[in-house]
Amino acid sequence: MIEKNWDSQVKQALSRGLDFERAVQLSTCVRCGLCAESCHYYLVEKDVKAIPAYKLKIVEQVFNYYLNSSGRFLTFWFGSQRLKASTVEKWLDILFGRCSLCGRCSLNCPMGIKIHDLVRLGRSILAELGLVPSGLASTISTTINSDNNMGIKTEEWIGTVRWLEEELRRELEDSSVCLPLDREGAKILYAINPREAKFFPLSLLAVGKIFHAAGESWTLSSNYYDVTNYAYFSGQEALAAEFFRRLEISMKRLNCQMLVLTECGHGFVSARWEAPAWLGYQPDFEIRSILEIMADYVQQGKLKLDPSRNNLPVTLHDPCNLVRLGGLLNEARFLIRQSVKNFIEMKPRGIENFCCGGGGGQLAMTEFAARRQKAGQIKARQIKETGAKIVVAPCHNCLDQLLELNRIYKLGVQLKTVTEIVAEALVF
Amino acid sequence: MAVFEKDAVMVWLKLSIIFALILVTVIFIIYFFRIYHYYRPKPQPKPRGDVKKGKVYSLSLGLLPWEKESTRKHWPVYIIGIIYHSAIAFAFFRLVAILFNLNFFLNFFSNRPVMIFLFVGTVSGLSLFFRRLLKAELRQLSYPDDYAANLLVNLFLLNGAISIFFQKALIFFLLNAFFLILYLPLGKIRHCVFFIPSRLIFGQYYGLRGVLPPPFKKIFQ
Repeated sequence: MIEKNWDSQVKQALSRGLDFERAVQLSTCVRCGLCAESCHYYLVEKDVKAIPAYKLKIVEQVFNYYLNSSGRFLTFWFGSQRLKASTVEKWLDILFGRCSLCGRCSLNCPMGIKIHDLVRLGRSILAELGLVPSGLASTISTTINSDNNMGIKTEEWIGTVRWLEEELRRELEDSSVCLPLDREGAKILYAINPREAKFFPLSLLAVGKIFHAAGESWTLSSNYYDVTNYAYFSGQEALAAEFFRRLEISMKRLNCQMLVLTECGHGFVSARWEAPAWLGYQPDFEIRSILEIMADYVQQGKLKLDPSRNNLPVTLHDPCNLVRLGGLLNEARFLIRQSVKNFIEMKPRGIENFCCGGGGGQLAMTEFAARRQKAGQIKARQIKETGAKIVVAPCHNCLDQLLELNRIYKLGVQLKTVTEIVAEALVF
Repeated sequence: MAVFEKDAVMVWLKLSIIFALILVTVIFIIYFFRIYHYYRPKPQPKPRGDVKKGKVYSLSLGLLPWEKESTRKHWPVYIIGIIYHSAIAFAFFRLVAILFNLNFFLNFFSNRPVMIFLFVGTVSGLSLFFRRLLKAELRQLSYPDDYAANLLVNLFLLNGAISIFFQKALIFFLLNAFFLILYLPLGKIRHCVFFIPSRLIFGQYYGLRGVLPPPFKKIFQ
């Protein structure tokens, strides 16, 4: 890489991305190394570059150099570094290639440092320099140029909805059932992951069945329906805000009261937790996950479930963004317990669960695919140990990674969303 | 003590330490103001949990070793760390008592059990030093500052212990304290100031999202 002077851009990105909290946390690490074993990359690679404190260290060095006056003196002694071509290559490899932003290290840091958040700050600096890995950059660019991350054309999407509606009517033997599209004034706007429309329409069929059974007023949107937000992974917060604003436009256009998000980890974290800070205001509608909605339905007696319809042993993968970073600790578990006969927990589980390896934009970054698959060993081992035949994962990124792990590590399991499991247990 | 009170060198040393403490406090205040410059009011999402409980947890139960996998897996390091930091607190209180002639506290921090504790603290600090030096990964993670800061603090504890029974060694304890205090804002020892704000940020983040404190009763079962 040619040596360039990036000082002004780095300073600009740092001052844009830095806030008081991040600046405090960048001054706190003592490099005790206790976070090492919380990272699935480290557990598999045993490489110092995978230790979360090391990832933090390289961001901290640049922070010290550009914004901390003491960092300019005795740089080798206190650790500060100017961002230059050789550093950038290392940054790309470590911050994008060795982190899935799962936040397991943050939860385990004795100092309370949100390491995953500071890795995202590092990524935002690289993004400012135009150095987002090509796969991730191309997914973002597709989202900018079309209205979803897979470039699905509107006619194609409408066609899929109509076809699924026919399927749903046939399955339920009820011609009045519909998958509403652009229904103005519906209570709920349901935002999907384009992956569902393109490759896994069964999850949409399942959600249609559930909303129908609960007698819900809901709708899909013909455009701006994408729950994913890959700019969250690249740390490009202005762009991330723009992507969220699209959902807001659909909410306004259809005059809905509640935005319900499909089973998507980072989509949930982006919309529910990060969007207000990006936008500078709190959206004037409620944002919930379909898991919360389904749990409410079951508790209110709107859904009747028969666990005997799911006899195979089932385990749950807790997606990092939904659980550890999103706070949905019990919903998926509650729904599965109501829907299956034999539920087996993974160890560890809940907020301590291991990342599958597919988060942080890893699935989009083909340049790091081999490492991602290797890092998935931990999850594969966890699944094997449960002896389950069905793995439920309420996140489409996780499902994609688990599909690969299933093939590579010969797990021999079926993969499902929570919505699918609930729909299978549904009694009309 | 009376012998030392009359000693001009000791008086100057004490004054220097007080000056160093004031200087360092000012530096930290400036540092805080500088980073406070980055403060941006952010609209908070509708909470799912309790921010206050999250913050309380982060500075109380959340510090217990069984609350985190990282400390559950490393009990010895955790215990050594606790002993080390407690000993530092004892040595610091002893220093304050000496500086301001607080005889009651000085008596409390100048007996055999405290001396033994400061020795144990020194050994704990040394074991952390060697852990850093001998583990290849930690070595790669470390800066010279990590070793220097540790040694400076270890020496502070050792001098603190020795000076309890050999009053002539008090000058070394005070000299050591002077340099240690001046070094505080420069390197990793600044975590003594940033630890609490950082834990509060942690508590706020996870408290808001309802992740921490861990629910004692499951909402759904």
